[in-house]
Amino acid sequence: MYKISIILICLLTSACSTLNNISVSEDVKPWQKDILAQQSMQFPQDKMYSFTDDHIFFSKEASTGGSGVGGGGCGCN
Amino acid sequence: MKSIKNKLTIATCTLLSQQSGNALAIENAWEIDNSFLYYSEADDRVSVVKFVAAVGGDVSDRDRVNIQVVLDTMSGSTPSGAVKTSGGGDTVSGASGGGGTGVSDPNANALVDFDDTRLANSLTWTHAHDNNWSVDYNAAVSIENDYRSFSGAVTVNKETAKKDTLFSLGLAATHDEIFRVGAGNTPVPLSQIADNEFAGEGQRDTTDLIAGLTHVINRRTVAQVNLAFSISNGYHTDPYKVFSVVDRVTNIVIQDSSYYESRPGSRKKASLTFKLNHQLYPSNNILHGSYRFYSDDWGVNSHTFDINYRFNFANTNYIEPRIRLYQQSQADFYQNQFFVDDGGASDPSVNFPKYISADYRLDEMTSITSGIRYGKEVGTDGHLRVRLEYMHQSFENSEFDTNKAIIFQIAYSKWF
Repeated sequence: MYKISIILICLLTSACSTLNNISVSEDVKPWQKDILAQQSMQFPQDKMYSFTDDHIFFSKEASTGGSGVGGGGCGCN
Repeated sequence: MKSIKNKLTIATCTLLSQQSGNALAIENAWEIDNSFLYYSEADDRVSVVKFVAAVGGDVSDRDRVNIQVVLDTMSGSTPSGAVKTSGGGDTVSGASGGGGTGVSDPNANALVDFDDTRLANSLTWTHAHDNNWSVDYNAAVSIENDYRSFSGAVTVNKETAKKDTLFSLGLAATHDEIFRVGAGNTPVPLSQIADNEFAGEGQRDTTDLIAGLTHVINRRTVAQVNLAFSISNGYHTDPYKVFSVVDRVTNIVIQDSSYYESRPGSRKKASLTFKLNHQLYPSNNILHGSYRFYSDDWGVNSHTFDINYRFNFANTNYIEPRIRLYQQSQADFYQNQFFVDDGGASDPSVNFPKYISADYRLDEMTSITSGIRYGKEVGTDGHLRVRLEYMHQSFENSEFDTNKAIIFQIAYSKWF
């Protein structure tokens, strides 16, 4: 578990570095953010779908997490 | 020439002032978002009806509040963990929240009826300390007939001056109380169900930590990376799940041999999630993709791919096919049944491992969820969404080798 945590942190660091350096990266000016401001370009794109999906898959799979913290649990079947 | 320059200056200022006005209007708006969800599994297994109502809005220049209420009603039947041939007993006091009225047969049914109701409330307050710093405070309560959950979370968000990168750091603490409906107790792990050995209610404390980075790659692409850890201590066993003892040679279930499961008293989880949104040119369709790697100290590792593609029509309608692929390994202590060599001539419990569970959700699993979503702008600032999806789960060792379900959801949001 400890090793996996270290590997994940390394992956996160390299991913952050990659995001900054990939060739398609460009400086986006404030007046060029019309597309990025659309709801469909947000994380999550739809909070309601994301919330209900989290509950469904939390109930039916052994894996959880990765999108945020908080919200409370349930004793689902 | 000077006249043209003046006109251009005036036009630019006008455009900028209009944009600014709209932005302010949006920031000051209130939003409601309501949803109805119907989830139904094949073969009369679990059905869920879920209502969600959320309202959020600015209460000051720097503060935004969001309140959400959730009501779930669940019913049907769910695998108990017992093997199918274990005889025609009654239920094991329901699977969660209701159903059976008590253990009357030492062999549990493979499927047990249940019904339950869940009411959950959450309050999120977001405070913007300045243009680049904000903090989300969240409190949530969830109540069921056999489960109570209380949580609090704080997430700090820091944007760079150029507003092309957002760093997030979130911390949550959750306290859960688990007990059997009516009795308010939990069975003694690894005890025979006919022995009716019970302990007090189970309690579990969980700490979650998440670090995230969201980065604008270009005008049409934004990406996010999240690293999450979770540590929980306390009662992790399912108070309704059982397992059967089976003769290894004859493969016949030993009479009177259903036992309550046992899980470790702690769990550590870690996950790394990548997300990408990209608007294509010139179609303006949008690709959403994500991948999550998950691992925990119960031996469960999983991979999740989730992709959907939005076809936009005239900026007011869209159709969005979606596919989600999920694969997990089984937990170290998962066993569909416990085998004995001597046909139950001696007490099998003396050979039980410390932890054993036949819960199908801890088995090796592949799950595919596919479907389609439709969205439409309705009236002024209204947004209607509908989705229909189908989930197919395949299990490697479980008593029920598949679980199939449909998911229907309709949601409507509106800005004021």
